[in-house]
Amino acid sequence: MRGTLRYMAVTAAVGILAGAVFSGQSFILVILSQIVVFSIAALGLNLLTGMAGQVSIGNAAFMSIGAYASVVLATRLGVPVPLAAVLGGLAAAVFGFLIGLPALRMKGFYLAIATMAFGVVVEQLIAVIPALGAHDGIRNIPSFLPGELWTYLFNLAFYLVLLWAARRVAESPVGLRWRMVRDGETPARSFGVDTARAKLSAFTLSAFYGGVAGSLYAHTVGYIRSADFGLGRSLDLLAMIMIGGLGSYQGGLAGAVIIVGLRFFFSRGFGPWLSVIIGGLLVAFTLFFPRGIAWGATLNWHKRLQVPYLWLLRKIRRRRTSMDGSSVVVSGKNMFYREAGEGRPVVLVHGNTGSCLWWRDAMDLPGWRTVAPDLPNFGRSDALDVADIDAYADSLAAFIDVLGLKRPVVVGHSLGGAVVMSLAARKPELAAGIVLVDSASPSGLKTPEEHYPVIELYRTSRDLMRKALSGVAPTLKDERLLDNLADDAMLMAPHAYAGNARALERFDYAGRAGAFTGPVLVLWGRKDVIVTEAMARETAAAYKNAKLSIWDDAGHSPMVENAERFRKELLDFLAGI
Amino acid sequence: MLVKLLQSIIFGLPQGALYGLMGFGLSLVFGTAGVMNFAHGNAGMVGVFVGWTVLVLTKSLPAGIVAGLAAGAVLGAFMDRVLMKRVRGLSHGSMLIITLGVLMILDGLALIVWGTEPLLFPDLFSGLPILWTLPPALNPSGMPLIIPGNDLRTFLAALGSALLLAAFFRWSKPGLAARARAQDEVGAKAVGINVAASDTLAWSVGVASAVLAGFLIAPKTTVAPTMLVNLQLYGFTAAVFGGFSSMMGAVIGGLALGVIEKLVVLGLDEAFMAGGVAGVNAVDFQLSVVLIIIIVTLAARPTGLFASKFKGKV
Repeated sequence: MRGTLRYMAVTAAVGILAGAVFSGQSFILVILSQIVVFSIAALGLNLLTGMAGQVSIGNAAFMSIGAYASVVLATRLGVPVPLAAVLGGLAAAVFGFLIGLPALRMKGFYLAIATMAFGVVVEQLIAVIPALGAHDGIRNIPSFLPGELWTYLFNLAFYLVLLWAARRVAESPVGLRWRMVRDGETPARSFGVDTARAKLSAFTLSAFYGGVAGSLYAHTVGYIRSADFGLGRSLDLLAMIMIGGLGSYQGGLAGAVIIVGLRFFFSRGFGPWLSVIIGGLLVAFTLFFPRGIAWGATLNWHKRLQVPYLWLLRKIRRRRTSMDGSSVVVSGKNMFYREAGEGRPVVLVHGNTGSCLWWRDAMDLPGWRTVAPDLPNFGRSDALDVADIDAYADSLAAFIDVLGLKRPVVVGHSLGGAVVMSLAARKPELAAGIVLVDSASPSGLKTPEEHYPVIELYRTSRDLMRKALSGVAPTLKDERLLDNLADDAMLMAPHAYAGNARALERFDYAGRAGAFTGPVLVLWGRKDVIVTEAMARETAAAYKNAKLSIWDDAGHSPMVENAERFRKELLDFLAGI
Repeated sequence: MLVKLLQSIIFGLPQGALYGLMGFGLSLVFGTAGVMNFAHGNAGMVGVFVGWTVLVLTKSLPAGIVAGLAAGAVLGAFMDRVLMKRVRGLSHGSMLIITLGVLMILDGLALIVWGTEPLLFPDLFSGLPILWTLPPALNPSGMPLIIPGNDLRTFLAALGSALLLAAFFRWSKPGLAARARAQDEVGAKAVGINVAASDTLAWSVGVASAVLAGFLIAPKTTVAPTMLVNLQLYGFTAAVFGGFSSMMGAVIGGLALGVIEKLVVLGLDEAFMAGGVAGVNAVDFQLSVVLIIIIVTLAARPTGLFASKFKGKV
């Protein structure tokens, strides 16, 4: 929801800015208007073809129906234009429903033929109705708004509303059913999806979008002719979504910019070339960039476009957040840490992509001195040349030594759990007790090979990182804390993103972890999507003196998801040491 | 009335033979290579333009026709080898969209190279119309039936070539190979059939048959970029009637369609006259009626009217 709002705001801002920049140039405003109008039609086709997988080469007919219906309503019956536009959309939706009925039984190529036939029928029939101006169409449709700028903003408002609605529908169960139908009808049916209803709803909604686009087109251009909505237009729409990105929301807009833009660019005498270029784009995108511009833009956003921002973020954040902590030199490297309270020491070790911030709400333990470092490679601490669990454990041991902490209780989360395991196995006398929170198990944690490209994307995309972290802490409600955790995650050394995953793969203390014989608490949240119950049980079984505590209502990160309960449980454990 | 009816059938059959030839080519490519070729008509149109150019240069009609057919075969092979090869078996949607792109490219190229002026094409055949008067018992008005000579020969040429090609694919070795490939790609490979060659053969012959249909209709439509657009729609309808997997079905479907179309116009004409509707021409509804027939047929029998039990493709 928050993402959708931000997304809509950005789209609206860009649209209004474009209108403001060209506010004096009516020719360009007309082009912008048409781009927006065709984006609506393309968005409608994308719902049908991109989301529900039904190829239609007759969607321009829905524009035609909407345009004629709306013009007749507005000019002959005096219906206000905004209402007429919606009614035009509804008229088209009725036809969409009707053509959807026979289409239910057809698949693939047959459906394409039927939709093409439908498009040509509508074009031909309207052209023989004298009341609708026959071949000549309807001219001189009065504009209802003063000037092109207002018309453009009016169209833009429609686009924004329909874009928002499309996102809401596509992310609802209805949209999920569409994608299931697209990806495989038989599997969809076996999961109880009523495929006929799913297709019918896609057809109807797609037709509604086409109808609204047609209405707006008529009132923007002021002149309609059935031949304007023929097979060529349907192919234009198809080209828009193929170029822009099949199944994306704003892909249609990118495609419309190109196709409508080209149409105006070639409007003087180069008509045939236009056909060649659009056809060529259609073929080239299908063959070489089947996911279209939208996918390319998304990928670039995650790979490159955030890089300058992240560079700045790292510089500023490292300096700003170092204020409320201390730094010590451990084996020649700076290590950052925060501490709280007085008493016997507890060391809190964060997990992968983590920092001491993850322990913010768990550090207040009356009677204990809590110390939470940023491991090397993480947060505000210096980077190592390697990413390795034993190396982290060595740094941690040296850190404990430098701070002079006497027989601390060491708490490790996730990757930090592996670090603590390594430390405790090799220096059993160092810790008085250990706590392993949703920890990697003694036999390591294998990351599927196909995840590595995604992990690489986390390095350059804070957006994806934040999304990943919200999955790691599924019940965390504090959006601000999540933002801060994501910012801290971006401070990690670049080589550690894939490096830490590899390190956890290499990690193997099966059979050796039990060298530590002190008290062990193993915590695990049932909503954990990374560490399984079997792994948690394996961890507990590796120690002679371990207690396993399973939380039903937490995910991978109990200490941020339910800090109060975490502190209580930790204090109970500490009391027994 | 009977005369009008028979006359409609006589006018309808030659048209129907052309539809059948068009539907044959579409079915051939679809049945063998699994691609619904939306660029079929425009590829044929480009072949006709090439033929026309050679005709003008050499002043020889046979040379023009051979050149046109050869151009069609080469274009078909190009589409298969260069464009379809990359997406074969990947996605039906991609293949379809590529043929739509080719449709636009060919349309634009024809306009760029040959311009918008309609170019005249000579009748392939000439001959006086045959007049046939029915016995007075059946025909009180005494109006003779007209069988235009050109139509009759067009009919024979279109039907004959479609049947000949259908026979070729039924009994010749390469034809058998192509049909085996249509039935089971892996099986065909296992018995040593060159699947890629079969596909190319189907594409070449398919597009060349569209060129042939173009030559036969060119005297009526003139040579123009849009000359085969409607014929392709009729071809689809014929193929839908035929069930798309059977080539003979498409030919028969085409003939039926030609007759149905003329009868529909006749019926509408009568209805308009009886109802006193003025200012509307029944011919304007011809294409719409045909297309509605497609939709209804597809809705009733999603894989075509004469579809065999064989359930390959799509």
